[in-house]
Amino acid sequence: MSFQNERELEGLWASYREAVPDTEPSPEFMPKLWQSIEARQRSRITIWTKLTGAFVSVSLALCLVFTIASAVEDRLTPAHASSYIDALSEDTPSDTLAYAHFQPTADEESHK
Amino acid sequence: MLVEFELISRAKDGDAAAFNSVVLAYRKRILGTIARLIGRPEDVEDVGQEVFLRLYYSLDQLRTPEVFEPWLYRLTVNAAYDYLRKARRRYESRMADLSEEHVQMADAAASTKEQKEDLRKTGIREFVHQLLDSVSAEDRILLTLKEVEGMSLKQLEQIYHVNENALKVRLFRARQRVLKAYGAANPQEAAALKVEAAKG
Repeated sequence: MSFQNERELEGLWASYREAVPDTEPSPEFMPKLWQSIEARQRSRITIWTKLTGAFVSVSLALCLVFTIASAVEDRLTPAHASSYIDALSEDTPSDTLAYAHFQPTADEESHK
Repeated sequence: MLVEFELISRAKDGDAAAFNSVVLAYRKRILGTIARLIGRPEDVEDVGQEVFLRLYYSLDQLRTPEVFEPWLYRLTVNAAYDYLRKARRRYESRMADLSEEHVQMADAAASTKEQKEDLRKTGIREFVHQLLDSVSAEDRILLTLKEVEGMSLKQLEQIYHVNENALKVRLFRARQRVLKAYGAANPQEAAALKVEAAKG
């Protein structure tokens, strides 16, 4: 019975192939295909444009935030108003400078 | 191959005219395969559009023009599989609507030889679709490619990217499932169609 069914099924596949032949596509097939291709290309470009716009906006916003933050910090920190040399001389005692031979000590003066 | 390798290479490099020619050469054959795979004539062109759209956007990944046909059939199989998965529930309900009364009315209305031939083919189509509906989308596609499209195991290997032994096992199991469904089909309807199929 199973063997008989197998043989019948083989015949049925062949009949099915004959019953569903290759069909001619409609005249709109190619125009529709190119429309779909172009529509997808446009949507890809739109997405890319949107992403680029969003990236530029975020970058500008971050620049603005950092500029404002930097300006506010400058105002709140007076140390930044003086120069590096001023700050160094204020922080360094005179004997340290002598040790570094920047100016003669009292002994050196008496030897002279 | 229906087209020269050179044409495929040009299409791969973005030549729109070459791509157009490739589609024109293959569309009839691909639409026929889709029709036999999905069994819904009204949706064949939509699935075909999807196949060639996918081809357009994936052609640059094709290694060599020699493997173009298996590549195209792989895209066809994938698009048909996606369609069958989505449409399965809707399709089942429509099959259930096909009452015996409708068939009898159509039979009575068919008077000429051509009409009778059309009716015979419709009966075969419906019966085969009913059989294929009883198995999974994977089995349905594999069996249709092998038994209806007449593809060799070598061709199927290139499409599925699996070895011959694995394909043989899958085919054997799919055949067993369809045979089971065939044996369990409505005896009256099946007997009539078996006779008709034998005549065809």
